[in-house]
Amino acid sequence: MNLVILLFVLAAVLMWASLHFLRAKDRLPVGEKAEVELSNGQAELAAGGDLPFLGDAIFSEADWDFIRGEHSPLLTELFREERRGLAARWLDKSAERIRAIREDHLRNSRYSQDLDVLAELKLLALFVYLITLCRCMLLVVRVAEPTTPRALALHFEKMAGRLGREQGAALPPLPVEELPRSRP
Amino acid sequence: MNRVNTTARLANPDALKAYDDLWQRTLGKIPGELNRMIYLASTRDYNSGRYHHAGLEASFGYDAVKQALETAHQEIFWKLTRSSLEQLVAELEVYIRSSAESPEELLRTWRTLQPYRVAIPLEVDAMAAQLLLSNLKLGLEVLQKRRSQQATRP
Repeated sequence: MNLVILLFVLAAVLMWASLHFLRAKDRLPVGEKAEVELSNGQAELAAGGDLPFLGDAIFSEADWDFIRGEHSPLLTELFREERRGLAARWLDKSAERIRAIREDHLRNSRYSQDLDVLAELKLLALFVYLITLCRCMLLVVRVAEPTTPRALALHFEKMAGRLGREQGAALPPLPVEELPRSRP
Repeated sequence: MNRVNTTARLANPDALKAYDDLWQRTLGKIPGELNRMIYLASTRDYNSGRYHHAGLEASFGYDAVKQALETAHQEIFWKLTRSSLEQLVAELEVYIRSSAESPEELLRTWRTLQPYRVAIPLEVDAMAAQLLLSNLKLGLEVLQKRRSQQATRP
């Protein structure tokens, strides 16, 4: 019974953190703390590279309309097959990147002396939210039309783009002398 | 092409000159982005992945030309990858029209051997490359279907 209550409390905290983050997402302070140097994967997710358009392209409604306009069941089936494959790979890769960022963040946070608990909770909620979103989209891609999760995919890309900034806000940059000399 | 991005990428002034020369004398005269990408891929050695262009190298040196060819190749790749399926089909049509081969023969070879796979630049995101390859495959099927319909019409 105690375990159930504990789980409920944990779930409530997670939900609250998630909702709080979603409400505050448009007024996040992007100050000096956000200028933490990002690794390659983070930089890509922070919408800095050529990649953020991929979700838009994979779930493109214009492409779907174009193929349907050809009035060929074979083409339609091929399009479904191709886009489902691409979407699944893209989602797998995105989930993998988010996990890598989380691990990177956990490793770095061990060396930080003034962690912001609220920011850490927000970040945790964001990680959980993004991974769950990835799984939901994977399911939708398998059972529905290839462009069905388009809105979710665009939302996912937007949220993933904020991950780098959120992480920067949660974890102040370490002075050089505090950084571990070598990593396993 | 976005000149600002290109200038930022090509810090070496000789490479920038080689890039401009490449566009003025060669790429600018080739019709269609797909055609240009195929041309640029053909300047790359299959085994080493190194780009070579004897004419440009004589004027600007190997390193500058390598950078210019690589940059142009990547820029065109990204442009094609960002294209819609409809635009890509139009690119394929331009490529087929400008080829000396018969459209039927070219379509058959491209659908079977998928030679366009070797036209992807080396240093690009694997997911983006898969998207372009998948779109090219779909584009070829669209053209094949249109040709079959034309052939069966009385």
